[in-house]
Amino acid sequence: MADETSIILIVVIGTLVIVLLTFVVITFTVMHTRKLAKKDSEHKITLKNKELELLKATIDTQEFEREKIALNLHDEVGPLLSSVKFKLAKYKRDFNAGKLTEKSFSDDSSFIDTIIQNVRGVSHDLSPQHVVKFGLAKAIETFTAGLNGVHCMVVSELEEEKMLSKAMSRNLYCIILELINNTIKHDTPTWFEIEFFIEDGLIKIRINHDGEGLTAESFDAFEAGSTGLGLSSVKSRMVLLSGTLSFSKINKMSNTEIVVPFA
Amino acid sequence: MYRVIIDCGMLSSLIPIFFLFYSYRKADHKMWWPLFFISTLWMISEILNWTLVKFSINNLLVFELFGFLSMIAYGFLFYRLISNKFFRISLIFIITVLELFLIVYAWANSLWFEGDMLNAMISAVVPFLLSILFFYNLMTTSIEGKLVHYPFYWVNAAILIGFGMSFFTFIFIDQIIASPALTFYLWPIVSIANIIYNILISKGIWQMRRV
Repeated sequence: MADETSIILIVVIGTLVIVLLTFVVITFTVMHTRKLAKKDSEHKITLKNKELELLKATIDTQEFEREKIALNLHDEVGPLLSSVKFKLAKYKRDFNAGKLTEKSFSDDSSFIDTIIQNVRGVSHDLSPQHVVKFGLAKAIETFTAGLNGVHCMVVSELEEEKMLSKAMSRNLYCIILELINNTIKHDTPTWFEIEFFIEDGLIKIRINHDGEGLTAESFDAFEAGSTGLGLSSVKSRMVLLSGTLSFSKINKMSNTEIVVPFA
Repeated sequence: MYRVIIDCGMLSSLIPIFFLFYSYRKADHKMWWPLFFISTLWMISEILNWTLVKFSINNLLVFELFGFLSMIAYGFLFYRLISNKFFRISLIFIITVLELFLIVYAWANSLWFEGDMLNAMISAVVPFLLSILFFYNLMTTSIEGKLVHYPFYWVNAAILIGFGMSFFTFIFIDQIIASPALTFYLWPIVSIANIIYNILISKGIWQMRRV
């Protein structure tokens, strides 16, 4: 009887212990998987946010391009074409009055050239063909060759065909152009040096110049105070390229560094 | 009360079968068949045991055979549940070795009509350990949606609780069979474990239909 009682006790206590352990295992599994699911959903949200940021950057960039083109057409091509229309009306009147001579047309050629140049600029903004045809470094070199009063040197170590996609080249081209234009506009440099090189498996582009230059903080402040879309377009494009933009100043030399991973 | 619990234990084995037939069309057939195999085996064993005990006929052969077959059935279920190649090879090897050992052991000791503590224990421990392994597997891999909506969470909980609760009774199976008093006090634990097992496994089968 004593044996039976002890067997009953062992079985009952043992069963209770095992049931308790079983519940612990089940509860722990539920809690742990909940934690995993939470982590997973957080990761998904982060990815989603990144996607949204990219989407926003793409839209911002497109918006910038549209505004720039609209501005070009409205402020430059539009008035010039209106002048042409006005002149044509005047020529008609002169012709009817018998006053129209060859001399009347002499200034019009430069007018038309300006319009052509502006339309070319718009087309260039839409798709910088230089970059596609000749490569990024060459396109930058061609652009800087046209700058008046600023000496410029472009050094490139990149094998562009292998390293850069067309979209990446176009974006980098627009970023560099915007930065150079801004530097010329605000910092009055006398020379530029633009280097393209690879370091730590990343593509780096360094723009050195002797102008006033910016720091990271002043860039942000400058961008916040700026009414134009140029700088925010630079930022948007950097997001699209998953790159970083930094500013520094050593002695009297300012430099801006663009770092992007391979395409 | 004793009879009610024992009868409920036997009757509960019909619940998963009902749910299995109900879910046949909507369930994943890859997992439906192992569960059908397990539940049918369980139900046949319960009905046979119940009937034989009712007519005071020795039911230990049924108990012994259920032990052998159930280990194969649970092996089949976990083989399909965990797709790791190493696990599958190990599972086949371990179950084959254990089955051979238990058959030889029962044969050598003529345990076909007597209480075989080793068979009862091992056939409970193997699914119990596989279930713990599966829970571990669940913890390391993320599943879509809530865990309570995952059918095999319930199936494994059933195995873990059902076999865990019966384990200590199976250790003393020889003494329980020999003593009517022990049978009276301890066998209801097995029946309650069976009821919980069958309810939880039915919930899993129901979830399988929903998934």
